[in-house]
Amino acid sequence: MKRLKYILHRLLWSVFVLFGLSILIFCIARVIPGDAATMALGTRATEEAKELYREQNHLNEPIPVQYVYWLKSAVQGDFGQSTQTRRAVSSDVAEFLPATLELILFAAILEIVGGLLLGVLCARYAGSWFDNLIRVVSYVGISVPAFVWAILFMLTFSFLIPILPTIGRISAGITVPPVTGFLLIDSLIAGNFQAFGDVLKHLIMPGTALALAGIAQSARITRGSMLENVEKDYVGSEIASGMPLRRVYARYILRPAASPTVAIIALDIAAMLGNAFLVEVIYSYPGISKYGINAILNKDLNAIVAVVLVIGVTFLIVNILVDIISSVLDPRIRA
Amino acid sequence: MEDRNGNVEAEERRKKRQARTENLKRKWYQFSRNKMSVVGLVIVVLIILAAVFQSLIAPYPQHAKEYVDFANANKAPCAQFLLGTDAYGRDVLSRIIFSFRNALMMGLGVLCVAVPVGVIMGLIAGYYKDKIGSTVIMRVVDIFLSLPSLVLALAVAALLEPNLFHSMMALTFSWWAWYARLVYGKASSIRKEYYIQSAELIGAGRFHILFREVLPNCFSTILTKMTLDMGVVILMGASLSFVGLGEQPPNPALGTMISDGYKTLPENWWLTLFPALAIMLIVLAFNLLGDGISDMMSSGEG
Amino acid sequence: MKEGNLLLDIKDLHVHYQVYGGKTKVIDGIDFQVEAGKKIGLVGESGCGKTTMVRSVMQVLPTQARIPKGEVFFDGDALLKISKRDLNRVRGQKMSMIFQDPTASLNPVFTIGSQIEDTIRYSGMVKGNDKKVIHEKAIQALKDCSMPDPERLLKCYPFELSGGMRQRVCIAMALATASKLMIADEPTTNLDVTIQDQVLRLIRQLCEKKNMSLILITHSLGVARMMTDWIYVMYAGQIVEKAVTSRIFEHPYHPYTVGLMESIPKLTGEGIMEGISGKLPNYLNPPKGCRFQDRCKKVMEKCRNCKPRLFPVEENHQVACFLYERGRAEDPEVSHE
Repeated sequence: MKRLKYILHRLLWSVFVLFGLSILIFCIARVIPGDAATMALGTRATEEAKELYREQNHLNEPIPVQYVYWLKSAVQGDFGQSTQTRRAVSSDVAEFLPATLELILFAAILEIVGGLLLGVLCARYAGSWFDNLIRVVSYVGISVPAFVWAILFMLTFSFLIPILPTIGRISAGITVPPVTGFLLIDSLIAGNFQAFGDVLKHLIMPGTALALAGIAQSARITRGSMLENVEKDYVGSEIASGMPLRRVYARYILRPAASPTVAIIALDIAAMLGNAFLVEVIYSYPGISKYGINAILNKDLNAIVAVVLVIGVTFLIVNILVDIISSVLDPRIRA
Repeated sequence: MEDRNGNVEAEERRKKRQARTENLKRKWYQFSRNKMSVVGLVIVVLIILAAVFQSLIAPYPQHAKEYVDFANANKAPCAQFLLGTDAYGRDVLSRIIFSFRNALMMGLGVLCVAVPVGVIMGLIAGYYKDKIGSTVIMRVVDIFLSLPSLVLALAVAALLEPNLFHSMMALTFSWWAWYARLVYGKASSIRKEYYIQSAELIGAGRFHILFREVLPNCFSTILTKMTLDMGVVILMGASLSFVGLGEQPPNPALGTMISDGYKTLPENWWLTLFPALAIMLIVLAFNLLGDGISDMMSSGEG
Repeated sequence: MKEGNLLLDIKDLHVHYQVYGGKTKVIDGIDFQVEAGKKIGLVGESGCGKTTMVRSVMQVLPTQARIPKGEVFFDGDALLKISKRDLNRVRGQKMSMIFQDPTASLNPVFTIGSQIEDTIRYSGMVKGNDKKVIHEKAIQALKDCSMPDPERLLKCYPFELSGGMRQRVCIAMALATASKLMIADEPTTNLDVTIQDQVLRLIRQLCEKKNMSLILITHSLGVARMMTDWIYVMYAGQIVEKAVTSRIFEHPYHPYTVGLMESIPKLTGEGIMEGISGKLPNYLNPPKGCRFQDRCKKVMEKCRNCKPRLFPVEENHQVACFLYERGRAEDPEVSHE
């Protein structure tokens, strides 16, 4: 009951944040850049054409009124036209979003599995050569930006030892009937395991590049907070009660220590969402971030606003999930 | 009589000085216990020196700007050009050294604005926790933090004329909220402490309490985060310039060098690899330094 | 206190901590015996190594601790030598420990039920780990500690209980699986005075009911007097005096014990207690000879050079102090360094 109330509270709160976020983005997009009509139509457009554009898009109204117009259509899923693809922004988003979500999800799973595993092992064998090795490696992992990893991986696994595909999401010639837009799932639905393997191969490099810093960071955090817990009396009493060490570590130390890790994973996913903008460009990965970068370079306002908003929503959902998970892990949070 | 007073004062001054050096020595011990922190400090100092004396250190200072020497274009690392040359025949090493100044400026510039703004917001919101103003500030902070920093910075930078100053503005815009949240948490827990309450009881002014009582107690947290953030901000700046939203050519920027270079992979690998290593070195050094400072602060006074 | 039915026998135990700047010799050659069914009090000031000693029996020492020398025999097993699995069997079924701080000795993120049930499960007392049986055992354990509404309690998280309740849960958990030896490490230090008494009585009752031995660590001599049959006085990692409880209160020998007794505040409030001046020696570099020498009012030349050993002064009473070795041959043993 308490938990339900807590989750409901979080959801309501997120709606408010989303609302605020939309105002923020709208203001950025309307206030900073100067004349929107010129940007949409180009500098050579006639004054009449511009005026018509302004009229159609309510650009002559005061900003708050403009916002209400924009919000009305945004709620219905209409973000206007993209000046770049000449299509509705919403259909562009629908096309490109699943690819990015798939990539981020893949990277997040890599981080959670890798980070927790390494963190637990380092805490269990603290001070051993393995612990020291991972510590040094994780320093490097945190210090190298994802786009540099992406390039280094590309150099290594596409050129020096060509074992992984360099660009795109799926090899040319392989097709999967679209159902969910998540190619891994779609290929399983179609029972096409060759396609599944191919998509997975395309995910490995960009996914790892995105996840590495997070893996290093969550491993460090997990190790640290587990070691803090090892010295606690309750661990002593659990060991003293004759429980095997493996179980004590895997259950009784990991869970009270997991809250900081979960919090850091949320931040890392935020970082991934940001870094995806660069990594997708490097691997020509057809996701929403690459679309966003193109929109940025072409000053495609409607598309920029939509992309940023979609990323904001994604991150909000991640945050809600993280809050729920940590409230399950640590009952003190929801009390 | 006067003479004796002077002696007492001198004695006290001496004692104070001694206490200060003693304190410094202890801090240094705590900092240097982890050898990696010292390594980080040394690298940071070297990078700062390189940035300050760039024209003396760089083998070809003139290569930092517009300079064309097609005879020496795309040369692999050799004795003449230690890290090779780019498509215009410019020395990669010189350009990397010249990009340090911008990278450091980036970090310092962003933090110099974002930190004071965020800290003041956080202090006020934290100290007046249950007031309406605090709620408003923190809700705004929540909204700013509901977007990944890089995404917000990209969005802002995208709408401005691309240059170094604007990319700094964009990052500042998305950075202050972190400090507001950090200081808010600290200040709202400190305000219940007895020393704050007793300061209130003896009638100290709000200004005094905020800046002389609460702020100093948040100082170690802020400083640690700042050192770690130097690396992160530089990295973000490089990311922005990688997309073309930072320092514009021909001025050297690590991000731009990498984005120009990676298109020529795998042949001209040095164009990508060395700037990438340079970013890594800067960020790594600041991370190590930050850890050292955090060690120093956590085992010192609170 | 000779052989016969010895349950726990610690022989010449040494424990070192690896710390910055060297190693501290926290336990320095301790002999310690517990007879079956007897209650032993272990007294001494904070930091003298009481907790380290019992933790080395349980083998739950901090990671930087080493045991360079010594043996611990418990109910026929050499605890420092047997395999991990055997050790877990012993810990699970025969002995348990109650830790000092009830707020810290329950895992904050699991319910009381899942913690008690897990300890019962891993003790191996329930054949086939039948969930129902385990659950009943857990309830029984709480009932034994006269806890109200055990069903509901099992679903609670530690932070929902008061300190006294938590400590009783700890005791219930320890007693649920122990059958031979209970170690209680200052079980009442963090509790209210009124609850202290209840908790102590509870421990004593339950030990007597199951005919278990008890090692009670305390720095309250009053508690020790009320609860125990024998008392060991510990100072700076060594046992300085051991005796039957009634004897030691009648006639303490060792200057340290005498000091401890004197430092008990009297309710009559006459004068200020004398107590013991100074503090514990530095474990990194302990003094040669007797470790109490710097605080001892009766220190002699010999104390500075030789290390005193326990020897009998009466029946059931041993002291490690040169003051009382009249008529004994000079003990030629020089300190260990």
